[in-house]
Amino acid sequence: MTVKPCGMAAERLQEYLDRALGRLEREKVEAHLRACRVCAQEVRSLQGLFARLSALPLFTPDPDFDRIVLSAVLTNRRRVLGVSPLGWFAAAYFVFTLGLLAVALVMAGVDFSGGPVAVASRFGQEGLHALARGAGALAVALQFLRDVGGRLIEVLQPLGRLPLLVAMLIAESTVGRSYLALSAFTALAFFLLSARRSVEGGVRHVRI
Amino acid sequence: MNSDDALLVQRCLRGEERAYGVLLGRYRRSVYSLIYRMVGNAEEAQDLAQEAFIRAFRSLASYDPQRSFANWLFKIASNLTIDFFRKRRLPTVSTAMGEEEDEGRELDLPDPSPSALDSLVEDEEARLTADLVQSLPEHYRIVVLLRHGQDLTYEEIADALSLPVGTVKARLHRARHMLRDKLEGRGRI
Repeated sequence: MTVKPCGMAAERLQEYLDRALGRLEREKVEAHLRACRVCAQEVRSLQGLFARLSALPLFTPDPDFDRIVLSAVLTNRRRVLGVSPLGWFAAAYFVFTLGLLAVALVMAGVDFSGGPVAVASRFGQEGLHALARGAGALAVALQFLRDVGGRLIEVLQPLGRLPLLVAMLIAESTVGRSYLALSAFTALAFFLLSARRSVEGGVRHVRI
Repeated sequence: MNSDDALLVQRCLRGEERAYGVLLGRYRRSVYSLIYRMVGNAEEAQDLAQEAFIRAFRSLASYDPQRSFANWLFKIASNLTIDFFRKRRLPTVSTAMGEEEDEGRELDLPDPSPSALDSLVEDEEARLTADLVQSLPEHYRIVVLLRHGQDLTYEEIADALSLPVGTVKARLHRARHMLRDKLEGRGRI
């Protein structure tokens, strides 16, 4: 701290001009400035400097500044929030398939009460019996899918031959129904990959 | 604190894309100017300022609406600028802006009509001040720019630069003395 011959700290004068002093301290400095010409001159000189610094003009960036920022931020945001339309479709498809499986298991008499640990424990205790029930549940699920396929055929008939062919494949063949289950897991993998890619999207796009 | 900013941030978080544009319009020039006066190069300043906004907008969820959005943004911009100096090891001696760099910007000279004489003198004075600020070591320059360019308090500067308040005061004090000595040397004070 630099103390002037009059006893005033030079830093205190700057704090005064920076409006960083409390009321009491401020009044003390003002009283001192009325009595000390050296400090009053110092304050005037600092005020001149402050005015110069505050008058420094602002610059304006290039016209495409906003476009680059917004494109980087909003593209990333859409990706993170929306993943991608296909990704969301895949997720919805996976959830739908899981739902079908759950309905089938409940219809087969599997008891889900007591949480995952209890369910796992019951499966452990019941062993082969549970497996048999699972197979039965799968049969029910496949039957359900067949019914859905049948309905699809009715709905898709007016739309042309290709959708109709797909619906018939699902409803009428074991391969088609197995494909349905397999594709649900593929859809999940696709969704996770698409989400991961979105999160990795970064500032690299910015420097154009 | 500008409570309007906090509302805009909420709108951004709700997915309103126009709110981002409003915040950009509000702080684009001050963030860019701070960085430009630090790095002394328009292209690098533009890149850094864009990165500051992108980082801020991507981290809006972590912004505390009780605090000033502007200070939070300047903190991000200051950190980026300090990192830039760390990586590039730029010299801290004067790299005063030349006339070419000022072309098309705020410091453009006005038409040489008699009524514009005052503006001409003002521009020359502003250029001199800018050159002197630019000649300060970067750790002094940034406190001067945050205090006088953005009107941040000692505490806000300390928060933005992760420094003790005492260090901020000491650097400001020293920087102002250096500036005043240089101005006195040129007979401007």
